[in-house]
Amino acid sequence: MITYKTDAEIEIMRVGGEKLKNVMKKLLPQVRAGITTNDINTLAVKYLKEQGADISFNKVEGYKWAVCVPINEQVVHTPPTKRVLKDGDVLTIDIGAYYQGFHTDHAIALVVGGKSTPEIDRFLQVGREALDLAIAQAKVGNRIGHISEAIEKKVTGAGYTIMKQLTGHGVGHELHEDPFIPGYVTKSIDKTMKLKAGMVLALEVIYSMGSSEIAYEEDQEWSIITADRSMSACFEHTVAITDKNTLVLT
Amino acid sequence: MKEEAGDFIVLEGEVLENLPNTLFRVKVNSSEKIILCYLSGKMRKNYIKILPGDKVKFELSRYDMERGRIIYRV
Repeated sequence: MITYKTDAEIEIMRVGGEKLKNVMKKLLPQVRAGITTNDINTLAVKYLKEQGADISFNKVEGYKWAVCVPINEQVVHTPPTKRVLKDGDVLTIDIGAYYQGFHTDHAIALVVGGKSTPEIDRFLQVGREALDLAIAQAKVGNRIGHISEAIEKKVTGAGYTIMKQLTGHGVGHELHEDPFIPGYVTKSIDKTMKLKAGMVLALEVIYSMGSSEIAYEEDQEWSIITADRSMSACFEHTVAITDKNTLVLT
Repeated sequence: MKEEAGDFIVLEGEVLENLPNTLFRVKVNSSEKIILCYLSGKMRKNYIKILPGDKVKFELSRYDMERGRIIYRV
């Protein structure tokens, strides 16, 4: 069941999203070789508190942390650990904020230490652009399928692969709500749901250089990897659809 | 907030649908209520596959009655 947010609720989420954006802005320059993903979590908790927002992700039953920090072949839901970042690691920082009863969700992938290769630069640039294209489709009058198509065309057009079991989602009082927004076209676009004012969506581009299939990392409770261990990344924004326009909250 | 044993109730239900993002729609036994559930860490670690039609036990937190955690496949 989809929950449509009122203007007042969207305003609360706009403020929450702004706080989350500020947290990410402070966090990114702190990322460097030699720190651990636990350190990233500690900083995220600190910055969220400074912004007057609460942690979102630990509201998910059994998940005790503020961030997910998948690296390289890890795709999503990787908890922080003592793992030390190395130059060249492709790290996705996925973080949520909880503010006045509403979640917002945001993710950025980057190369640790800036020591990249042209191949990785291209890989990440495609993901950023795919998210921008997805956001451009997220408006009244379009359907979920238009968003999925935009992501799929960009990512597969560049020779990369959409992770099929992982999707964008509605967001509000719960971190994961209906509707689910696949990154690829699953059925005829006109059979997908219409986008309406009041929908607040976490649009995600989750993709890899290899397989579209996921696996659980061995002996891990949460961390998901690409089935063939190929490189993966994720970009995500929370957007609110209104009658007038679409607001990027994060 | 720190949760203690008394903060959970355990219910049984049937899996209706496997959703993306490793979520499941579960219908509560003897009810029309449908709960969106995550999978517990133990079940993930032990590669226990959950499919539509499976009967499961799941925990509901007193603080969030809309989301459950599947802890056992019956």
